Amino acid sequence: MTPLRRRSTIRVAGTAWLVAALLLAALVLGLPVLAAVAAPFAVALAVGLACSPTPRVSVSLELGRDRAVEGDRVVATLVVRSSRPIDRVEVTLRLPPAVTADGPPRAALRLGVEREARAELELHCDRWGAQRIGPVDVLARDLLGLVDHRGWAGAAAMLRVYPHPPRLRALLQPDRTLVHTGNQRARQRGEGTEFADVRSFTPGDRVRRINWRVTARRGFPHVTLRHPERNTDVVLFVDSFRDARLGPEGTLDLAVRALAGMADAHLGRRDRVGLIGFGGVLRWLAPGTGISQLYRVVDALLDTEVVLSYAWKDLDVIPRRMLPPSAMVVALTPLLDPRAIRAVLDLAARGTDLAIIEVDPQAFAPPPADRVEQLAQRLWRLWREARRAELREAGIPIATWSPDAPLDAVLAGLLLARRRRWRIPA
Amino acid sequence: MAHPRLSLRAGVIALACALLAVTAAALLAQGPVLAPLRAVGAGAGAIAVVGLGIGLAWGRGVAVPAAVALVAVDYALVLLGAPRAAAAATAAAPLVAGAVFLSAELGWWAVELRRSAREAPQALLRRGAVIGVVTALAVGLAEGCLLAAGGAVSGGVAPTAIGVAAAGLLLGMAAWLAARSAAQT
Repeated sequence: MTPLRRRSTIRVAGTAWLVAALLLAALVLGLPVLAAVAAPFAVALAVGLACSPTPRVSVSLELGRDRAVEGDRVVATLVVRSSRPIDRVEVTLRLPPAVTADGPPRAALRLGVEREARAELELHCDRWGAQRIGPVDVLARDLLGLVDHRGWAGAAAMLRVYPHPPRLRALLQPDRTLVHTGNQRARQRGEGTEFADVRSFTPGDRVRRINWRVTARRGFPHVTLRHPERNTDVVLFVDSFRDARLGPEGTLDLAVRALAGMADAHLGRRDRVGLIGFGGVLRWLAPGTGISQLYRVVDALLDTEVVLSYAWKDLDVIPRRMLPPSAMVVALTPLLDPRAIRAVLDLAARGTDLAIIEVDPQAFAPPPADRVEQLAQRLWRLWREARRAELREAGIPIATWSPDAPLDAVLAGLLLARRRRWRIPA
Repeated sequence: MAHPRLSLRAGVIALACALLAVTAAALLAQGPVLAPLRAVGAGAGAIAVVGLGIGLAWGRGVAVPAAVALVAVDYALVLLGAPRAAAAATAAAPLVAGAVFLSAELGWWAVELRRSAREAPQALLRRGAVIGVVTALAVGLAEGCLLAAGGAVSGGVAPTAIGVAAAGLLLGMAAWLAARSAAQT
């Protein structure tokens, strides 16, 4: 149990001064009536100070669950125990900014002879992340409110709040696929379900692949070729060097939600998904498949945060096995940091199948206050347009995602841009 | 094990307490003051009521003892006035002591409630009952003090010296407590 610190409230000093003044006035003016008026205050002060020993308090914090999704409500139960009965104990749960309660996260309790009480607080998970809930600030007060006993108790609990992923209908098609079965239509021809071509029969072809209709028309055997269904490696690349933020929302929040949705969708298509957090702190997760990989990816995303760093970083710091040659890399970046821009240009130069979703930071820029700021924002927009042009010149398809637009529409645009890459201009 | 339902808003109770405290202070400030002291007494009473109201609206606890002191000044002026009015005021001293104490308690409670968590209804009832009981005790205590003051011991150097020493001790204690509170804050 934690001992609390005893502190007199302002009421003690106020009452003491009042009693002293009334007694002095009674003496000076010769009015015992004033002493009678002062007497209740004096007795209350003496009794209040004498009968308020410092209690020892322990608080245990129990969360209804330790994992939640953004927008979920979680019940936190506080069990308060003390070494002696306390007339009024106020417990305040320390909360991170991303978790809120309905009103102040406080409860007032009375610990009677059983010396134990319990309070429930409903918490609202506003933003994803690994959120530290607690410890608990304790304020015990006697019946007359003369003395405070303050301190903190209880251990903090971790609440992992997962991002609410957007529902995606379309996903990017990779240039290359792996040899394992999946849901992606491979560019190669072989055994599959989707029609690819018809060609004349060659020795070794299976008889069941003979296209009888074309064979009858042409007079000699033809076989149908199909695209096999394969899986692919998808590496999700999140730029966490910088973040444009306005209020509780920022570009990194959007990126993490989008990545969670894309990881979910790609793993649902039996792809192998890996993650690279490229920023002040480098994080990576080797490509893998299955539901456990989804949890690993989302857990890794929860730890993604902007860490200020001036160190120059390039692709050499990323382990080689993190970027398999056949992998499709989907980068989400606000294009704010030159190190991230240089890294994606390097990836493209290595021949990596790359697509960039630019999380538009302009939506998070405060509106210009005067003409100078207006001009500065215009210059900034031009600088950004120049960076986009540089990336397009390097053959990287890029799509800009504003917070108010659905991610599906952005992916559809990116899909189109990736197809146009291979079109030869007339 | 207690499972309190935190439903009532402390603000409503705080407002009610503040209004009650101000009303009690205003009633006390309506004492029958004689002509020469009428203006001073009325001024002190008015400042007490307005100051208490503003102090409670801002959640400043220091307004409570200040208002009580001003009401006591008003009351002392009544006692120093005409003998008839003074006799009536002296007779009413236990009630005045109870009213002043009630006003101060409600004022403190209002300040506390402004800063505290939502209270369980039974906690509010219990605190209200405690204030009622303590006020009744205050009336009894004041009556006892008056009886003691009107008893066998009447004046003299020794009782005055004891009274001065007690008041000095209390002043010293008040200064020490105030300094300690300021250091802790």
